[in-house]
Amino acid sequence: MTALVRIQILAVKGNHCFVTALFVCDHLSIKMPQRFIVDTGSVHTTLPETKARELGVNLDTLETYKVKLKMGGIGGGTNARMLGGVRLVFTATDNSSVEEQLQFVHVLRDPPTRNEDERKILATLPCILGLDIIRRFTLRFEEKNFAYFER
Amino acid sequence: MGLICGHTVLQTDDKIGEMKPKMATVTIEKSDLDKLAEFTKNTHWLLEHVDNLRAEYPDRYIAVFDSGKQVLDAQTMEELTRKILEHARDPETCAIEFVTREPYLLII
Repeated sequence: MTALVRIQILAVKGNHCFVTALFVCDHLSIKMPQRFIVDTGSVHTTLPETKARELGVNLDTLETYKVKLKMGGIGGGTNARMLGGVRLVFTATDNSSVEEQLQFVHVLRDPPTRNEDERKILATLPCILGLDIIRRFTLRFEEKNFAYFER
Repeated sequence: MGLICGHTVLQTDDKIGEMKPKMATVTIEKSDLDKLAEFTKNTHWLLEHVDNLRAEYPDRYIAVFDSGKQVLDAQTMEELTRKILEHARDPETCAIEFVTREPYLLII
């Protein structure tokens, strides 16, 4: 029987659930730690535009080869692009590495902001971990402030 | 058959019909995992203490290092980035947040 893999998720009461991982994109030579909101309401793992630019993703280049997508939420709709060949590397509770490959992630264009506060909040908006990764694990809420991905 | 997706060409593996990216591989070093561990500690500290930080750094960008032992703040992201580099810290390991004066609930 395979040993259980557990990845810790920070689940502070009154806040979203967050998990950290190394975001790796081979063809762009990107590897950088990122914070992800664990979002069962999102089908795909998604990067906001600001975060993608920080990582060194050139959205203009993505547009050249784009597969056009429109995405919508409670706050409205915006355009999205697809960034292929992504790996997320998590650290399990036993300090082993857990690598998950994704054929693509969505890169979400930042929507127009109404004021400076919204712009600043968007600037530090984390990445979104979608069902394309979440469904590979069992999500278990346990002790105070923590949940776990298990497999 | 291939699908162009960003810079990556996804190729179909005919045996299983699955799209797989064909590309060079970035190697994950121990130092990368150490960075991730440091980033995780700082992120956890930030998220657990964000309500306390709100009183001290309202409407400021902050960067958390050493599990909260050092917090840098600035009016703008550019200023914060400059401070991080001035303190000779690795920006990839710190947790950065814009701390709103009032609690802000994100609906996604």
